[in-house]
Amino acid sequence: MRATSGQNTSCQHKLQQGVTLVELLVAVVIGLLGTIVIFTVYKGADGFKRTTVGLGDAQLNGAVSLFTIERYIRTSGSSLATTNEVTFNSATGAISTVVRPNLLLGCPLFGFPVASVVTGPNGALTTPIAPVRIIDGSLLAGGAAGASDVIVIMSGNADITTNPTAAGIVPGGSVAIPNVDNVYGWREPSAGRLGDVALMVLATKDGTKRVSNIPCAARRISAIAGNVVPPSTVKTGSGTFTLASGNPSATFTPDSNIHNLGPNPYFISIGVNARQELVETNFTRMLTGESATPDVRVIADGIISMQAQYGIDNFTPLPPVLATTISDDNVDQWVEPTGIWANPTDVDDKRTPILSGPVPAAAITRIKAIRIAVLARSAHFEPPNRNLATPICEATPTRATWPLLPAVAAVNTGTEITSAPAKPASADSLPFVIASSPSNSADANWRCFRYRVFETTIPVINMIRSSL
Amino acid sequence: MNMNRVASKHAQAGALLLEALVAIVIFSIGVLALIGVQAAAMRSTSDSKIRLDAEFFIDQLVTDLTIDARGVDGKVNFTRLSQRYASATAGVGYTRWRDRVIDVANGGLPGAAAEQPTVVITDSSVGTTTLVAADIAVFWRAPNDSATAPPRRAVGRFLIPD
Repeated sequence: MRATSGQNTSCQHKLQQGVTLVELLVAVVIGLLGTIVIFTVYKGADGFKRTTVGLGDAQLNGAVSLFTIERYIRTSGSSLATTNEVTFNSATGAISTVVRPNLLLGCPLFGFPVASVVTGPNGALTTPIAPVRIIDGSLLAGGAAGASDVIVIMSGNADITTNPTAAGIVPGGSVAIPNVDNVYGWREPSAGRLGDVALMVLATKDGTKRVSNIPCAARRISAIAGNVVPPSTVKTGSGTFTLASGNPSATFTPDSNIHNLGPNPYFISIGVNARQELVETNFTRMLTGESATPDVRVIADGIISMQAQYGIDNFTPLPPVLATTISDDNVDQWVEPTGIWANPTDVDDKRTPILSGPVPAAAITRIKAIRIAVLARSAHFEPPNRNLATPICEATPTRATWPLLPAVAAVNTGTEITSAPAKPASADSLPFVIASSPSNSADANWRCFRYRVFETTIPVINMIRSSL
Repeated sequence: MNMNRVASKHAQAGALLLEALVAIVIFSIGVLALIGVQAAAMRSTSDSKIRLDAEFFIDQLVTDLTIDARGVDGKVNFTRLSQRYASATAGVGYTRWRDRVIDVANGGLPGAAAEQPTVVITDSSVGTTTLVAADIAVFWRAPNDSATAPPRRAVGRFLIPD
């Protein structure tokens, strides 16, 4: 009994001694191993999360970019690509439509600054009025082949797409309108609404041709003195209106035409900047003399490159035999904005006689659609694989490519395409250049990021539905 | 009695290790669940990319229809559209578009070759008002989808602007 009791006491004593050093060390090692496992798992999970979130962001950026560009291009050319003039007989109240030559397309724009930063094979490119204009990256200042393109988009938003000819601009601060010629008239600024923007073009006396080398000019109407059509604030009929300051009307004679672009026209360029953001530069307030600098906003970040092509309609027969030409307004061919298409210029109206001189093959009116692709990059840098003899990144093994649609026919063959082209050969693939800046210097780390390519085609509806 | 007590103590020492092992197993299940969540997030990002591509393919065909719709009179031509774009007749415009949709190596949709897209052109013109519409459906299977389950799809009905 005593012995047992002594044993008991000894055992309790042993329990009270606690853990031995060896036990403690083993526990520490096990704890450390657990910590290492936890951190390894966390690192892997965090990498996963960053990759997933980064790709999600890239997808969103690419989709938002295309959506924004498509929204602009679909409405581009409104108030600009028109041949109809709606006239209003104030005595009888009758409204009639007259087809007149379009003098706006191809007219260089007063004060449009994109031209000054764009150089082409023959010096500075002009930026004439056109619904959509692609400036190839290789033609931009400092741009190399494959550099990101710039898209210039123009549109008015007048209440109705008319082509009101209002001869009688008086050089100076105010402009006399003997007759606006339509019921829709003009609006001066009112509460919550800007005044209409007037676009002036210098025409020949008979109104069928544009006087070359005189740029078109846009100014916002600040005040109108004239007849008012109740109950709206629209003014029509005889009267004068005052243009805002900076009015370049000294060049405009009484033979000029004046067009209503509505209160919110847009003249914008969209491109990728050095910080890899897709940027919209709005020149509208610069053109109207209301601002010294353009309004710039970022559409999306993480956009590496944007590439675009024209979808063109081959007329039958091609210019210069235009007087009897009928076109179907269908896209027959996709072309790069280089060569003759680097600078699509003058007007050729296939349903009226040639307006001024020989018509170029690369005519603005042949552009019926735009094909566009953007390359979006995930912001997550995935480090090189250290297990390799020479560690390299494995996130993106090969460069993204954009398969070109096949050339339906050689440029200027004048073939109106009725049969479909063959499937594009893989040799037609145009590699996207993954660059770190618009100057196209190769980014040595391009393999360390993941990319997404988004592509779509956009019809220039106003060029299809107008009779141009 | 003494011997019994000693044996019981030994048994308890083994139980501690067992408890630790069970704890590690439970912890591992938690870790696996965490990895599973990440994989699911990755998969849903990839799924949404494919769906986005599908929508852009539909968008492209709508544009193709819009810019290739007119006869020599400059009006939307139902006969031309159905000859060139209806999937039933495998028109030239349709096959060109379809070949891009199913070309997985160049950004096409996975599984679209087995479940080919369909295009139906309908004409509901009234008098001089041209109303030509296209019903477009594209199908695909995400990489982990069962080959026997119904494919995923995106559909749309579009009026061709005249």
